[in-house]
Amino acid sequence: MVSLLVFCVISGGCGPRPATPLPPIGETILLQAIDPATLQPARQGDTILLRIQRGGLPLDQRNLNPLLYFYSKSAGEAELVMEWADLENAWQDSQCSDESLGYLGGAGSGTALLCDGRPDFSQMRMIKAIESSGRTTRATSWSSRSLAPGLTKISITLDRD
Amino acid sequence: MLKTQPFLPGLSLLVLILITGCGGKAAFTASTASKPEPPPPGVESEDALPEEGPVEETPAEPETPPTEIVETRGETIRAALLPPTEKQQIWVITRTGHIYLLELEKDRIVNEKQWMWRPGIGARTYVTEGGLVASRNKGQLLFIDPVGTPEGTIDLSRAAGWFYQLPDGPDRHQITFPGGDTLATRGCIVSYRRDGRRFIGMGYGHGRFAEIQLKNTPPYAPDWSSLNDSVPSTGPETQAWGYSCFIDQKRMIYYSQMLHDRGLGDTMALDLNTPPGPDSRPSVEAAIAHAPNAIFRSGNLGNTTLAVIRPGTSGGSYAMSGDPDGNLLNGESFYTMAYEPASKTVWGADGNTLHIMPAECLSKKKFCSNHSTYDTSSRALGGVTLGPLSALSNGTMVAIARGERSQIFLMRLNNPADPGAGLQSTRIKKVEGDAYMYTDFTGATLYQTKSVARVNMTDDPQFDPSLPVSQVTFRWTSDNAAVTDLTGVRMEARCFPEGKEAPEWQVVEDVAGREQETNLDVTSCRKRKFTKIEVRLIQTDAGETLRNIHALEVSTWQEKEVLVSP
Repeated sequence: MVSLLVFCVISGGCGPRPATPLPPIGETILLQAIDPATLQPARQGDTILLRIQRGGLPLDQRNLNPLLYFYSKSAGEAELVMEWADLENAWQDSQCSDESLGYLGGAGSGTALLCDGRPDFSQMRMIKAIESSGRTTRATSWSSRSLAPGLTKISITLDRD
Repeated sequence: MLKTQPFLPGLSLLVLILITGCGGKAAFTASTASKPEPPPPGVESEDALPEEGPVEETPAEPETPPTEIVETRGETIRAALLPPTEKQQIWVITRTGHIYLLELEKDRIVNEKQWMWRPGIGARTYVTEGGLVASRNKGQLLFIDPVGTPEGTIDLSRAAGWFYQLPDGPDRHQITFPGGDTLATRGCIVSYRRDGRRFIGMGYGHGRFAEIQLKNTPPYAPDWSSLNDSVPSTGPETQAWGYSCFIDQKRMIYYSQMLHDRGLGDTMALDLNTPPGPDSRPSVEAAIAHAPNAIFRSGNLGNTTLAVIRPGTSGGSYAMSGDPDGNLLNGESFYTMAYEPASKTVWGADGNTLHIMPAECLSKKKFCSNHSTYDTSSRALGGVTLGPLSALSNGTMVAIARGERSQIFLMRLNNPADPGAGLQSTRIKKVEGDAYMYTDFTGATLYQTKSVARVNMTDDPQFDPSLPVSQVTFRWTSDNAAVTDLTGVRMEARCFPEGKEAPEWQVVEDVAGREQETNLDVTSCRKRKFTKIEVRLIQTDAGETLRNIHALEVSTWQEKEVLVSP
């Protein structure tokens, strides 16, 4: 924990994630294609760096703490059900490697680190969030990107009522 | 020290022109080009100026081989027919009820209009010949005529004619799942033509379909009293149809994705070649039978190439789509995918990344090599997540990042022939509210009543833009063997240099039959220098010829100087 704290202080990466400025209207940005080697889907057992967006913002910045349901294709019931806050803290009770913890620090808050191989995103069919108000949203899309061998970043967008 | 003689560049150039005839015309009248004569006594060309230092003996120049001027044909350039709406327009509807029309020229907004609808969740949109139709839960339908619908809050009264809601009844406003859970019906709207008449149609309920005829004159407003929703519910009762949709305008097949309690599921198709009625039944079997890529799976793109989702399974895009050949675009984990006609590529947004691949990779090519991915959540774009996509007809894809305020981006490949050579992205607008939308919102998949094929002759490596074009020829092709002539279609053309204003369209007379060659004999395309060729096809009667035209092939002829064979 001390080393993580030191990492956070040095990198400044563990506080609230600052809003990234949008490019000015009318300005053309040239993007370069990303390395296809980083686009391998998550494999079962990978450590997952999880980031969820809703309404264009990371989940935590709206003070939302929904209950999240992850449904696998092979089962009718949700494979994993967790509150977002629990997901954010799940790394503390797991066997995450120091390298993975370093990635968590760099990613800032609003990010969860799952180190026990659940859920299996290669078989995901639906992700649902139920807020305390009762509002239910579902994922419209999700993408995965390899950060390092055995560590995959999963980004989920919750947009659908 | 030697002093050089004064240099008169203007004079020497004039002399050179007089001697060699480099005005261009003479080169095409001579049958054989000859070596330039030496300058006459007393006149010195630039090459003849004395140099400092000792004068060396000039070696004899080798004799120029004889040449002749011949008319040569360039490579054939195949041009797809671009979407019908010549206007570049973007329609946006947000949860707060804001509706925007953005009209563009050269990727800049030149006109903008706004309306207010009532707040609500997702709006399915479709751009018609005369405006926009949109559907929302419980059979709500809206039509906007950009000219005739007053800006501001839309009058939703029946008398005004802009808004209509399907009458309530079984499965019309609400469906019930076994166990008692209910869901407000979704409905996905499209527009199409049949037998010379225009319609809008919407899949909804447990497999129902509502069809409404449009009036015959612009702005082709819906005649709400013509509602035909006689297609019965099909079930299974755990599913809701009309979640997202695509219409294959060539085959007249409507596809829509089911929603069930496990997520998105079965892709069902309905044949619209005949008026839908009590005997009509959308089915997955019809989707498999009609979608050309129904059973195609890529060897290396995996679930990106899902087309028809079978019963008992789940998956597919949040918003399904298709390409002009009727192939379904339904990749798993994508918000949506959209076909871009100028580069013949398919773009897929999965939130943080944008995947761009040749369209054939989703229907024919087993192993896709020329595909690329861009990180659209990068800081350069402000960390946005992209959702709705819809193509313009000029190589530009419109991408929307949803949020409390949504952001509209125009994206374009740096090199249309190489998806990996960079992606240009321009944020053009911020709109109020969450753009809770699907596809299409630009007119990308509308039927063709008017179409433009653009050819850039610099795509032909044999084309010499410095030389005039003596002749342009073209052929047209059709997938439908029954279409042998351009019956009821007027063809117009124009040619012009890159960067210059396009001249007026001129009618092309006496167009030959399918796959036969026709001379593009209009003034601007005759014996001039140009690089751009545009051909416009307009359906002038109630027929459907244009719908069946697949592509144009264009060739140019130029007189070039070539070596004479010994």
